[in-house]
Amino acid sequence: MARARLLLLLCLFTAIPFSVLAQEQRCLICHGKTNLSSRDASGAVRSLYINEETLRGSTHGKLSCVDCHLDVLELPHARKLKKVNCIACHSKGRTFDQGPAIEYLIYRDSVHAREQEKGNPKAPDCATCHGSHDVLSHADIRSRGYRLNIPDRMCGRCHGQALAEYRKSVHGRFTTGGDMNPPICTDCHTEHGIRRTVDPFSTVYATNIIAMCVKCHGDFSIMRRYGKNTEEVETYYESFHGVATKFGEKNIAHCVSCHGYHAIKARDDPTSSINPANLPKTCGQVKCHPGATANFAKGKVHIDPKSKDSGIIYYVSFGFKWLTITVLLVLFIHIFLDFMRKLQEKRRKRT
Amino acid sequence: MAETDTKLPAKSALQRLQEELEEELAREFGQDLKPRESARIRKFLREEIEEKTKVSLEALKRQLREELALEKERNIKEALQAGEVFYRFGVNVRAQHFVLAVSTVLLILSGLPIRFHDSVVFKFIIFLFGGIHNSTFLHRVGAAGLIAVCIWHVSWLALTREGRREFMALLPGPRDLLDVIQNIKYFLRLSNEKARFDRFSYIEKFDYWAVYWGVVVMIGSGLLLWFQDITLRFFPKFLLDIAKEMHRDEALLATLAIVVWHMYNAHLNPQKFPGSLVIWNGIITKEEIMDEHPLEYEKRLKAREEERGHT
Repeated sequence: MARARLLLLLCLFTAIPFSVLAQEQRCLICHGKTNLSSRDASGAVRSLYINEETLRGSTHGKLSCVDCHLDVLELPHARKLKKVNCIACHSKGRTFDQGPAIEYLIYRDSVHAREQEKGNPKAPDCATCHGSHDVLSHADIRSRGYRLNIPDRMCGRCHGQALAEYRKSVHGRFTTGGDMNPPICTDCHTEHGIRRTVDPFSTVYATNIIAMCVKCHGDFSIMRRYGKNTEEVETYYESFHGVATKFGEKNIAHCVSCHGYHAIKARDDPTSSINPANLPKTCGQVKCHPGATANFAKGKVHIDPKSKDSGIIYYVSFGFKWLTITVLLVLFIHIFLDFMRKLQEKRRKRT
Repeated sequence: MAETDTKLPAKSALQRLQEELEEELAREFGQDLKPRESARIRKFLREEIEEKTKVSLEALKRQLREELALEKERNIKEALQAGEVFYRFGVNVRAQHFVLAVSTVLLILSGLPIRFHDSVVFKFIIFLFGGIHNSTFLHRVGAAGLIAVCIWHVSWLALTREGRREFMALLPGPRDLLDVIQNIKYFLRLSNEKARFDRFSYIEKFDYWAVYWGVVVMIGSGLLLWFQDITLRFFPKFLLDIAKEMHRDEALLATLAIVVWHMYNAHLNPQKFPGSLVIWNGIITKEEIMDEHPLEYEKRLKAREEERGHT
């Protein structure tokens, strides 16, 4: 009896992988053909070919077809299959029956998910960015989610204009050259919870975007590698623009108002918005200082009164500092002496 | 209460009134009143009388108050004539000081938060103002007040005899230096004699002339910043940056000078605490003027005697 049971168990264990393989083989009878395709409602040709090597090499390589395509119950299957539901597996803690994963919950509030709810066919879901049969870990250099691939292979496929501007910017040039540090799309826009610029919860909303820039530009250990320092951040907060933002004013210049967003360029680039030749135009935006003249470009913008580079302003600040200290010292000495003497007089009169 | 009343030889007006009423009612009804009913009568009478006296008391109080005020005024006049108190500041000076004080406080409260934007206290002040939009508007209101009081003061100095006389008295002279030395000696107990001041001590003169310096710097740079679009049409941006730096540095210096110097000399020092009313009603007492401005006191006495001699 015991032997029979063992035999049964052995049969089962060997049969399962074989049956899986058999299933795969059955799917690939059709989907292994390179010319297998269909036409969707708009008449566009869509390839239905599955490269087995790609699939086996992906992070989902150990799964079988029907693990994701749950509605394939018989062969031949229905003409139109449902979209694969990723959160069937990707749930909290990566275990079943615990609700959707946090990435999905964040995505659900994003502009992409909202557009999709409205029925926009261009709005992306999981597979649009992460790929379907070729999903790879973001640490894999061939992956779409690999840091340096994100602009081209994820966001840029739809946001071509932004990608073109970004590639010409200082940040884009560094990342094109293989530098991992400069920001890519997701560093400012976040990954799953991308929102519109006008959404107050968006990371690129007027009052929030500064924090995105400060993440790196306020960090000396990062800026040091590029031969820059963090004085721009400090001086911005000291300027009236910065103070007003701190007190919650929205219609005031912040980083991107002057530097641009995707097309941020160095000051000496003639096409840069902060090039002295272009500053009057940048400052003279309708909302800001209309009719700005060339005088706007005469003088530093990020001024640190404590640094000698600021010229006259440094000496003005220095002079006032010592004037204040001297005057107050003299006044305090006078007050102290006066106070002691007056107390003494009062005490003398009382006795 | 009832027992003590009956023991008294003379009955109170209320009691007499009550008895009369009771008798009258008893006669009308043909029988004596029960104690409950007489209590009701007493209560009625008391309420009636209280109501009447309340009204007349109010009138009496008002009358007394008016009389007292009149008497005070007469007292001040008498005291002025007797040389008990003196007029130190006229209405014009007091009004100028009021406008200056209000606009300065407004300017400090709406301006300092911009410099100390990380401080919780100043954030709360901006919150009280209702945001940076309102506080910048109030800053301009304060600035307008300050500019107005400066024009007012300078024209007062130039156009009135009182103004010219005060200006001459406020000019610093070699005497002030001697006073400083004398006072330092006094403070260090090298001398028992305080410096004897004329109409304005060097302390007051410093306070006065510091305002000139402050106002010139603050209004000058402030106007450049206020009308920055016009400024930038004619001048390069770095002039505006210099103006901004001067504005914020002088703001701190002026605020500290006011808080330290003016607050101590006019409010916190043991002689004056918590402050003197001279800048509000213009009156200084004989003791104060003898202590703080003995030379002026002597001059005034001399002038008064001469006047009496003439008349």
